[in-house]
Amino acid sequence: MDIDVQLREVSMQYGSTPVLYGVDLDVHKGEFLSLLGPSGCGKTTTLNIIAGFLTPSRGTVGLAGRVINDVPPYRRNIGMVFQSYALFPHMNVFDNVAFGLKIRRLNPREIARRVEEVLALVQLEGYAARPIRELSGGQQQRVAIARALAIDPLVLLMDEPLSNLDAQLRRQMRVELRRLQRQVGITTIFVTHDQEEALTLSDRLVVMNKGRIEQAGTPVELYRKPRTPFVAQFLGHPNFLFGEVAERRGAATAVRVGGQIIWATSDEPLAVGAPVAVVLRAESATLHASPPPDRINALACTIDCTIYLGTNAEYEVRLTDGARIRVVEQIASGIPSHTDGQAAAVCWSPEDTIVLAGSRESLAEMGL
Amino acid sequence: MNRRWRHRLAVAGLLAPAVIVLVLVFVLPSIDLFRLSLGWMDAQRSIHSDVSLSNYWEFARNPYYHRMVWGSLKLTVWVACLCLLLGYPATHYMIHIESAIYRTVLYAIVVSPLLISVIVRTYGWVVLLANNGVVNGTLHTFGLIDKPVRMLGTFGSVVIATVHVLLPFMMLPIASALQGLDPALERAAQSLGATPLQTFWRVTLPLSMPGVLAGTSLVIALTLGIFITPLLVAGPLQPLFAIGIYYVTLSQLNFPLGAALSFILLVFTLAVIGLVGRLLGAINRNIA
Repeated sequence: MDIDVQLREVSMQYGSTPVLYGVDLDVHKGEFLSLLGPSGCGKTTTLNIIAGFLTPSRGTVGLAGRVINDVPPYRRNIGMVFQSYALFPHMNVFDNVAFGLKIRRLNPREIARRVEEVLALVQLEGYAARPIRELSGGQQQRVAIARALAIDPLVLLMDEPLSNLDAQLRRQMRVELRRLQRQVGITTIFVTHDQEEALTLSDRLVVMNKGRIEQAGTPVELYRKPRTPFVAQFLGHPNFLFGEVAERRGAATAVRVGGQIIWATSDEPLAVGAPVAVVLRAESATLHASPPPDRINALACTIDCTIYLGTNAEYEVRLTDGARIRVVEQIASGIPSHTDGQAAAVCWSPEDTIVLAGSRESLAEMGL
Repeated sequence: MNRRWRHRLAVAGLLAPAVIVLVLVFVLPSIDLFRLSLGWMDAQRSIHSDVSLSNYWEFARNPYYHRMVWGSLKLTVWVACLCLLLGYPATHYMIHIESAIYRTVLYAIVVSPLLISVIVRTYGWVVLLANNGVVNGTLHTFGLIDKPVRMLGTFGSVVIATVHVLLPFMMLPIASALQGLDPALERAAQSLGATPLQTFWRVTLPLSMPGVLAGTSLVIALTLGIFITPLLVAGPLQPLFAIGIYYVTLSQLNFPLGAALSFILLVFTLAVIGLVGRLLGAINRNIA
């Protein structure tokens, strides 16, 4: 597969404060890649390095097979959509979209044709003469995208473009962004701190933390097989149970958690006795009034609290050793099947359970 | 009382202090000044308050006053242009400094002329530019000149001293306009292919025009009426509007003529500022 953007060993520091540590990244032609992470993780710095607004302290930046470290941003032909949109307030929609084309000295007929084309693409036909201040947030967003696409860039960069929109518009723009990106087929790098945005939009996503890439992969890979507790936590806020490895049979791993044995699967090289974190998604567990006899993972618990959400009920249950677990139950009937204070058993299959190296202390250190 | 009236009352309450002060210290004296300007002084130096336009006729007829207007205009053009050319790049540089300490120091330097009395500042220029002053002394020491170059009293010395006094009034509005710009705007222009120079012409400059306009208007208004600085640097014979008014009023004691000249200066200043505003506004629209 062709690679459009390539970062090799890219490090960055502001003064004496390091913000990126040797980032390696390949972005394939035509893919939608998200950089996901909390604020300060280095995702925006990475984007600005690709755009050319920042020069990395070390490492190389490649674009379409060429090292572009020394190429200024205005010669990179990379489109960028900013969090604030950064539309030129003294120009109307047409002049904003035409800006890059006028700089390229295309003839006026060609410019008019191209502007019309991209405005149609973002469904803003007939808005060309409007001043920017008369547009709604969503419309400004579309103009910003049209302006970036008008120059027919090699790569489209987006820096948290949806964060200034209200929740409903954000969902709508998400769908539209995906459609647009597929239609144009442009390589896109999208920076966000919103896991839902990243999961729904991306072909691939890259989770970053403290200036390093934690894990890269498809949304399903990262959700199903997080390699670090950080990635597991960031995608879906699962339950963590802490214990140590009691036995290994290939991928099947037995973990001792508070005197009980939990079976899980893991590809990680974990030795018997190693401290581990068991990752259990709230949606993967089920609650039973009494422990079913044939289940492998079935722990006795008490239901502490029920949050009723209509089609779902979210229970907070307490295990015998005091650990708390969240369990989400789909309830088609709309009636929760358990009540607070009731004794129950929480069950899940070993296939839905992930084991990662890490102790309660090491996770607390990471702020999880 | 309904809401609309309460709203009007609130607006009136908020405006009242400023309006009262302005009426007391500006509008009423201006009316008084205008009434005084309609009087006239006879050969025995007694003042008559009957209405005549003789002072305005005198202004229109006498070439001395035309030279004065021309001198003030020339000074204003020089000072405004130099303040803009010196002030804009320096401000642009200052805004983009990352070190807060360095930036604060530069700000302090920019504002410093405002912290020292005009008289002291201007005497500083006298010391520098006099025939036996620092500049001539230095040039002489290095053997570049045999006899002192006359600088004090020239039009050039008035321009230099005035620019020094008024530069902060140009820089501060420009700084506030530049600071208000989203830094992403310049990045957006560059990502679209604009070189730093193109970015400046097409984005930064047009968007900082309100600051340029405010600064230029301030400098023009202050230069047209400037008095102490040229008086000390170039003496009472320099053909400038405010010096002329001073001479007519305090040496000839011709209060009606002085009042008429003051009133003409006021109208003239408003007219020039209005003209400059429209001009810069038009330039702004063309750049966009």
